[in-house]
Amino acid sequence: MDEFRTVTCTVCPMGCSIRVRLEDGLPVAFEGHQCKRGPVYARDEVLDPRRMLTTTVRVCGSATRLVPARTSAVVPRDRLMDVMALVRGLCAVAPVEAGQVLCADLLGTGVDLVATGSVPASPPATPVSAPDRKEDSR
Amino acid sequence: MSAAVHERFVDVAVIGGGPAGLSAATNARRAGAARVLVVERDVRVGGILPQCIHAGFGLHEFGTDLTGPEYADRWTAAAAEAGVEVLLDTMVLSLGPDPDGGGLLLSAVGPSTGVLHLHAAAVVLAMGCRERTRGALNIPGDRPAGIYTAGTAQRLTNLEGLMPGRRIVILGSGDIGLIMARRLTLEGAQVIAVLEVLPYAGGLTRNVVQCLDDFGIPLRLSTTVVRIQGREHLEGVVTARVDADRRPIPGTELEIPCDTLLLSVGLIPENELSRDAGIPLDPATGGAVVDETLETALPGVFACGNALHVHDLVDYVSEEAAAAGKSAALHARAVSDAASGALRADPASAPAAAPVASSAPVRLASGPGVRTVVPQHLRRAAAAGLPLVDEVKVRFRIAAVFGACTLRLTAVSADGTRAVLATARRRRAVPGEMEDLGLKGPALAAARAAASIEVSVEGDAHG
Repeated sequence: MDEFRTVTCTVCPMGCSIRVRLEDGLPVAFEGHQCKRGPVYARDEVLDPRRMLTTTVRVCGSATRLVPARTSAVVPRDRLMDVMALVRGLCAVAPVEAGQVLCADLLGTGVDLVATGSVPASPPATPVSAPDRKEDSR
Repeated sequence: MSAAVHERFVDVAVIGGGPAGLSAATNARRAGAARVLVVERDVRVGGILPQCIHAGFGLHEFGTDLTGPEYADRWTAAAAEAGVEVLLDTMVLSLGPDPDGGGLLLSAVGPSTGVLHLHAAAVVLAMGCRERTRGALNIPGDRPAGIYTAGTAQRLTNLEGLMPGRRIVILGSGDIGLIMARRLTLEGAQVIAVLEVLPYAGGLTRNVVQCLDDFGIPLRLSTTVVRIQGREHLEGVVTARVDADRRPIPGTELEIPCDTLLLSVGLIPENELSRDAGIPLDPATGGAVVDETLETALPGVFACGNALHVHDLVDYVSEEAAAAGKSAALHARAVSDAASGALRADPASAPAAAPVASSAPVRLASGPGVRTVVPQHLRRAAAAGLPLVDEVKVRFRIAAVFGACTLRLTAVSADGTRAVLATARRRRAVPGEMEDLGLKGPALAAARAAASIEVSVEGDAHG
């Protein structure tokens, strides 16, 4: 039984709308693309869409509250919310170095969560906002 | 109350330590300027990058896909390695010609220096931009809590660990708004819809797919907010579809209960300092009028990055700022050479400032289909210390979505004769992505000899 899916290609700014014909869940024909990269993208997007996840992780032991993080590789798109539920429960202990693995093998995906910034252990020498200092209103 | 005024002398002073300032300062050092100082009002450098935790940075500049914090770290390290000095938590208050010499004088203030008088041979303006706020939109209603610019919400979420709200409507489909739709969804909020007054999305297609489609967030085009509901805190918005002239269509109103409205409705170059210094601004870009060395009308003052015109990719900010930094270094050297030469020869004939080009520059103008052009001028002849550059990149934004089209630079002579200098074909072009065309060799020579140059796009406009 034939089935159709429409995929917006993100390989280049053209943003072609590609109609994919599926037979038994497998892509067999593509139309609407303007270059050969389109069908390759659309095939992956139909069979196994994956995304890079960037987020933040809470930090303990520092005046800095969060450290930015990314996945070491793309993860299945339909696992993003599950991964986020896990990440929200994490707390990295300062100091954190950029490149440090914050959580290995997220939910058995084989993908790690890696810090993309550094957080020192001690509070910074200059307070971000002293209590008596007026914030400029902008 | 009295305080001693600190005096400092540098070759190049850079105002702002974001991506533009870091690249300008690093490249001023690389081009030979001895003392380069970045003055940054925040307590850290990097500008907006630390809160831009998403990827997509550095593909052009470093050949790899970096997040904002990683991109900032690379440039911070490069600046340190190049010997750039940074003054944090210090705000520049004014800028103008130095009454005591041929250079420029900045006054700044901060807890580490108190009042600082900074004497510089050259200055780079790299103050960045601000977000357009609700005040610019004239949406009727009270002023309840719960209305944020997308960048403020990004700061709260990614740096402070605070959620702006739970049920969110986003007005404006620029990239920051799209990225915040995804970010807040991942953090557990419900993004009800993204509204866009134009008939097409403002951000990249990639972001529409990966930030909205992936999470089933609807994008409502030709739609805007016509009323804010709630008195103490936001309770909802009323949306309406708009006609071709962006006027709300009566009868299309829709009430959406929500606790948060994010505005992603444009960026404005920050140029209070430039304006106060009497530097002419281009009303189309909101930034200074510059020539191809990125020098403003005030000799020795150069501009780059989002303070000059709003960019969509930070990589191009870094590239443009590098050129500004190099120009500033060359100018600084010319100023110091002139001063030391004058001391040796005849102090009375010391030039007050760098000599200006011998004849009026060539004007670059927006032609059909084009909204902004940078640079606005092209030099006809070299100034002392600033040789004519052998390649010029003209950056511009088109005014509408085009299908297959041709981008064009045309030289117009005094008698109206037109000659095409450079062209590029596009299968699609959108206002959200900055375009550029290069000039070099005979085309650049022809451009410098023209009366003016027109930047245009020709093709099928979609709206």
